[in-house]
Amino acid sequence: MRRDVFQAISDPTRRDILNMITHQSLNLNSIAENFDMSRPAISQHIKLLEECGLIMIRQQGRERFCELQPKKLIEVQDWLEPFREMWEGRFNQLDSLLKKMKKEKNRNSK
Amino acid sequence: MIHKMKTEIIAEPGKQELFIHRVFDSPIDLVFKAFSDTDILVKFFAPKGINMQFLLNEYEEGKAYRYRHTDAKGNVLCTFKGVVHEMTTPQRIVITSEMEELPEAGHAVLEIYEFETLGEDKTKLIIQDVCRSVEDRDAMIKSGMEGGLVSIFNNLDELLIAGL
Repeated sequence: MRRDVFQAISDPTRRDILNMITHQSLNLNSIAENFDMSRPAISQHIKLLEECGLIMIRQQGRERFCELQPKKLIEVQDWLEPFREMWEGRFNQLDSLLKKMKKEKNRNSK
Repeated sequence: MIHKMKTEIIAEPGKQELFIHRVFDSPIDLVFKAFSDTDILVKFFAPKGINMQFLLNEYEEGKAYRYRHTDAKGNVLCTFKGVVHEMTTPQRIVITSEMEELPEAGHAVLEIYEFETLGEDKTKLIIQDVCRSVEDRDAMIKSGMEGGLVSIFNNLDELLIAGL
């Protein structure tokens, strides 16, 4: 199975978990309390998030705290850019064509 | 040159669709013509320096199309095929599109082009791409389609300018 940021954020529960720990690290119990899901199910999601590098689990006494790894999320922000640039390039070429087409149209209508 | 961000991509996580938004400073009939007339399409749809050629050129409602991108040496970069489901001048084009070079057939994309007048000389284009799965959509974005190739060629240009 694929293990990357995109798989991590493709699931709504995992996105909720990430949102919860944006501003503060939380332990597993406090995260699980927010969901109508078994604790093992939440643990599975957290395990996957950890494997994808989006969170770090820190042992503090008897508790395990989940901490967001924001660097990985920046990757997500940038992932659309090459695709966007491809379309931008296409459309910029069209802009110059449209200019020519407009001139021709105006000439013909005169 | 200042790089203006005119094109907007909307791709929500976990969805199998994406939207491309762009406004052109031209009337709707011209913008529609550019996307429906294959003689014009080949002039801008391929990245700079890449040749685009229609192998099957029946770009009309109910018919089919097939085009290919080749580099200056004639190497095939990608081939796309599909059918034209709807061609309503000047509002909408609905087509299917499938890249033939994918390792497995059957991953067609539904593409809807909507053209909207914003003023006498302004047209908004909204492209909606609907894929079979979230994985298909993400793969399409990640590969940047031919976008990956564009950056390779841009890099090559820079290398050539730098004297390689």
